[in-house]
Amino acid sequence: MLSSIRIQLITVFLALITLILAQSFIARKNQDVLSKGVSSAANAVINVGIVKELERDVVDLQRNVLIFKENASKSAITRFSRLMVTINSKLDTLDAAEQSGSKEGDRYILSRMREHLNAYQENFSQVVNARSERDNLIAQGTLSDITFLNTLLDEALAKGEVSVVSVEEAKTLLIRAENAMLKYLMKPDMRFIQSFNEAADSLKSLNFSENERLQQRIKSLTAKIKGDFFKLTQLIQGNLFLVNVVMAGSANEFLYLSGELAKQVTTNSEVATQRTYQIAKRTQQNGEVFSLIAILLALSAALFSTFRILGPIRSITLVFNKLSKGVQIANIPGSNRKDEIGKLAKAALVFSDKNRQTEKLLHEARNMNTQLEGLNRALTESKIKAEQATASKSMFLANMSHEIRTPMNGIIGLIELAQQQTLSNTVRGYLDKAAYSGQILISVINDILDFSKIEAGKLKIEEVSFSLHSLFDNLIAVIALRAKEKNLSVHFTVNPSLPPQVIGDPLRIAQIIMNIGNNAVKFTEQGHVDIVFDGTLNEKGNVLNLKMEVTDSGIGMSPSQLDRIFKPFTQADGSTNRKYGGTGLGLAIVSQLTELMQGRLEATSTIGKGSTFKIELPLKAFKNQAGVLAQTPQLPLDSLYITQAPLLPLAYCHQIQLLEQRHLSIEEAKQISDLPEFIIFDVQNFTTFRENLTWLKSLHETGKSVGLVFETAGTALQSKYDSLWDGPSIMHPFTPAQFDRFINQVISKDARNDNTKFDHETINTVLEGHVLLVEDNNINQLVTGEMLTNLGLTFDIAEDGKQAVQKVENAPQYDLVLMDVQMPVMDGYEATRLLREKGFTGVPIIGLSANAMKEDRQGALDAGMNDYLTKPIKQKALVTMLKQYLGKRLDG
Amino acid sequence: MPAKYNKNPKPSPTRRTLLKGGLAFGLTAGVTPFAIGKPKPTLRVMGTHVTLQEAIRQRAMEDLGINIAFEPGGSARVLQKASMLPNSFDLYEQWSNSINVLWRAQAIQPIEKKRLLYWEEINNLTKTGKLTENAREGAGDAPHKILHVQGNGSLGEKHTDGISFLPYVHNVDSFGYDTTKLPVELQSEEESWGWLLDSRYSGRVGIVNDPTIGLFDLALAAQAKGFMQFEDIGAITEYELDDLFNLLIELTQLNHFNGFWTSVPESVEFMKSGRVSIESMFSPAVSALNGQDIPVKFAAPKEGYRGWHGVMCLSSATQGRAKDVAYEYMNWWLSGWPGAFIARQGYYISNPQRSASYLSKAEWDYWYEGKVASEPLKGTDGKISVKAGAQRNGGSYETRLSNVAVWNTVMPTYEYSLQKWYEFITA
Repeated sequence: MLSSIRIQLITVFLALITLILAQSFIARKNQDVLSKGVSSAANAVINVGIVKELERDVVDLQRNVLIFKENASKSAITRFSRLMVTINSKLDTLDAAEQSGSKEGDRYILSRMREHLNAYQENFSQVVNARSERDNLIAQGTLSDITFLNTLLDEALAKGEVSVVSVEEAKTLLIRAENAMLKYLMKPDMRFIQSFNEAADSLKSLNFSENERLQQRIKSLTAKIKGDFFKLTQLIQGNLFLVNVVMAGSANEFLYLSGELAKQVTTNSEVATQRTYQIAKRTQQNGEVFSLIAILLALSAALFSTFRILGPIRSITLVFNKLSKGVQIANIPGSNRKDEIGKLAKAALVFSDKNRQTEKLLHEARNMNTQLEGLNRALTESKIKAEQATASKSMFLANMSHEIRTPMNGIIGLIELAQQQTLSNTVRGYLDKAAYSGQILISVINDILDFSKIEAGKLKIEEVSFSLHSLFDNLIAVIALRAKEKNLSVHFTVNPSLPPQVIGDPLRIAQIIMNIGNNAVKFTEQGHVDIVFDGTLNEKGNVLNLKMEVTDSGIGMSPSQLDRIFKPFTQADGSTNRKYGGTGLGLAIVSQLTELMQGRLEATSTIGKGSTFKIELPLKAFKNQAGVLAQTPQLPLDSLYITQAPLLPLAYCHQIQLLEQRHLSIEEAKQISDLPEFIIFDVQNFTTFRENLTWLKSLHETGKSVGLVFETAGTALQSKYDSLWDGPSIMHPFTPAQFDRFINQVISKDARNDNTKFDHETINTVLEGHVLLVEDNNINQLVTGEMLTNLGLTFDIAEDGKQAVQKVENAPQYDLVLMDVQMPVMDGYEATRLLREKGFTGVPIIGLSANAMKEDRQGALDAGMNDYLTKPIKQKALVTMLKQYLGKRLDG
Repeated sequence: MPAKYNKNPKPSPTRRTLLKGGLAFGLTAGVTPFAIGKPKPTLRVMGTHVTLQEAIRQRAMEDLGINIAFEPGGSARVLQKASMLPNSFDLYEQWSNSINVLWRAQAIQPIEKKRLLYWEEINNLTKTGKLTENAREGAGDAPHKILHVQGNGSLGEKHTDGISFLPYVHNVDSFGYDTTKLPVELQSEEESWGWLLDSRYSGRVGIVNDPTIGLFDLALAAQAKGFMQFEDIGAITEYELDDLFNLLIELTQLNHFNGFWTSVPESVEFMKSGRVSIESMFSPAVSALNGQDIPVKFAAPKEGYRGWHGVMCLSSATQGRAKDVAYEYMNWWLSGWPGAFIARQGYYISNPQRSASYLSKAEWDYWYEGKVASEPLKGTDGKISVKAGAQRNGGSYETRLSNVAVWNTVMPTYEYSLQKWYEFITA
């Protein structure tokens, strides 16, 4: 509790304040006591004076009482009463003085004094009364009676009623009585009373026989005189007793008491003075002690402050100063203390530690900085290098592709040309294999090129309007071909309500879908591959979330393999590479393309059971489009679907109104005598086909329209079907468009096989026109020239852009220009620009480039070219292109 | 007390018995008996504090069914008033030394013995002057000498039908001294009046301020000390007084006397305050001081006591119904309870046996028999005034009253003594 300096200081200050207060209180009290003492001493002096005056007054009272006793002086009475007033007022004064807290004894004395005084006054008034009564008795009583008796005797003598002797005797007795009375008055003594009484009694017993009436009169008068005299003596005795005994005693006691009082007052005052002196002395001592304590306390407070607070604070301050200057402190004073100083010291310690830490951190930070700078430099260098490397890589890749494509172009072109010749089966087989290898090589090159373009961030996703139908056609063309080779069952199902026209990059979408589809086929040895297209429109109806789900019954993958498949140059297994071939870039490209299109790619797989790939791609779509199968006509309601397990998707059946209650087995159908006009028949396999062919044909003969739906079959089997059945038919996998045509055929009963085959078409295509082929490579000149010739076109050759321009200028009859982009002297872009500038705007210029990059195409269009073909030029693509530009011309 | 009341073989007259008695006597005495419906009569009693006590008044009023007015006062004052104004009182209670004055002044009338119910029970102290056969008669106005109204109208020893006063309260006085302050030299000596004038007590002596009482204390002291001899200490001559007072005035001037008290409380105060160590005393003062644990002993001087006898006188002016009531009061006083009451102050009553039944055995033994107190005894104020084991100095009632040296007396030299007294106390 006292560990805090604050509390210690407060305690010390409080103690000091208390001491000062106590001291001032004591001083004040001392003052009070002193002044009280002084005043009480003064009062005592006054009181003693009053007491002395009282004594004098009482003596004066006694004197006056004596004066009165002697001569009944009126002035003595006046003086007496005045003195009484004075004495009483003095007693009051003393009483008031004593009232203020003196001893009981003093009050008692005063009250007794008062008692005595009152008794004295009372007695005196009695004395005064008695005295006047006495005087009255003397004047009116005894003395006048004696005189009256004398007169009475004289009268009687004069009248001769009594003898002279008797009168003389009586008069003598009267004189004796008067004498006795006067003597008694002079000096009260029983003897005088006795002599008076004797005289009176003798007077009473005197015999005045001659006068009975006089005798009686004298007797009664004598009795009265005697009674009055008795009263007189009583009064005198009473007064004597009162004055000499009672009043004297009272006065005596009063004087004694006043003496006692004076003594007591004096003693009291002495005691008070003594006490005052003692108290003053004691308080002074106390004050001195307090002062000493206060001084000691102040000193100790100062010492305490100096040694316990100021000193440590100064040293702590020094410590902090040093710390702030960064000087390291080894030892901090007072850190073991528990008060504020201790806390400060601890704070300083912490401060010092922090300082040290900060310095260390600073040092480390500097090092780090240096390292960072080095790293940054290295990084910058690396970045530059990397950028340079990327650029070099891109350059290299571009060059490589060009350089590889060009000879590949020649090889593939020449193989194609060779295939068109009549050859032995063996040579044809070799050529086919060579063509296939060439195709693989081209596709590998394309993959690498794509991947590196994506890696380099140079792949741009196009946004063009395209039809899903063509996407499906291409997909099925590729997938179906390969699947048939492996004898796999491939089902292709599209949601009938899917809008056909969307906006996106058809090339890249096709690439994704082809890749997945090809993979499925590639990694499935037997069983089936199901491809389902579905999609949902957003609320506005302008974005289609296209979903493709490809499920196979292939080899499948483990979860760890699944994790790896989307990484470049990786296949599910090292061994797969050897077994199935491929660069391992396909799925990586798919993944990255999906990402670029903000789509989603998901794969699930069970090893040995197969895999499912799900792709979602958001594509812009035109609003309010009819679904892919919207145009497909519906079959009459009584139409039958003869099937064990429907090969047609249920959605398709619903689309064409082929409801489930109309699904019948073959046996059931055969028992129906009157079959409806339109019949769809599922052909699961060749056995089913062969067993029912006759029945089916008979139905067909009877005018029924029978459409066959075949399970996927190999090329050979397909040829068999085709040759045995000339009614409408369709084989898995088929596109919605093919389904639509199939239904139309069923309804129209027109079984004309619309088997337009590019191969045949290409071969048969004959075009008219004169073409300028601008190509620096001789082999390419040969291959492309051969293709043109095959198409029935004539051509001139220009070695470079400059020659091309000259030739056009010289003979501007060319219907079309095929312009290679990369040429010596003058490249294709330059030449095109120049031609367009020179006014040759009407002639179509088709760019040729081994550069498969998109920029090339844009660059070509920018330069004024009409279109663009990628080398190696495929005959099919060339035909399509030329037909487009030269056809018009023919029409025109 | 009420429990003992019934044990009394001869019950004291309560209001009822008094009525009966009154009736009986009324027929013979021709006094009008009490009649119901008349206002209560008021009896006016004049006297001193010795007997005019409030407890007595209340008890009397209760017992008698009358109003009683007490007029207590200083002895000189009441005496003068009574002697000159007989119609200012019905009954007068003081000491025997006032009888001569009152009688001569014809302020009082003779009391008829036949109307006193307990006259026969009154002992011989006032009848013959000798309580016991060998008793000392005592100098001065012995009560028996002034009791009976003689044929010539004076007062004398010869028994008649009329008496000047009703004998009732009496006692013997001496001096009291603080036993702790008794000078060593005197401790082995027999108590003597001479101690009052002993130089070893100089400055610490108190005397009652009354020549008819204090003078005898001092005369006995002077005689005991051998300073002088009196022919008749009950009738000191002027010459003897001159000698005595010459001696006393000399002593006064030597401050031998500390004070002269005029009342019993004052005498208590004298002793209590330590102002005096020895002084003339009355019995109640001794009881009061002992009750306050002040060890004052009431001396039994070898020279004998100064006796005093209370007198109850009938005013010469009181007649008729007031006189009847006065007689009732007088009879009540001897009926037992009052005697027991004043016994606890140390006073005796003239018919002690009637009061015995109102006192416990212990009280009777202590106060009357002079035996050791077997238990603490209470005074009239209800406080313990006698501790167990204490014994009354001087022995039994009879022993003490048989050793009276002098009675309080108004001597023929009374007026002279007053003059001398004045000189003495103011010297």
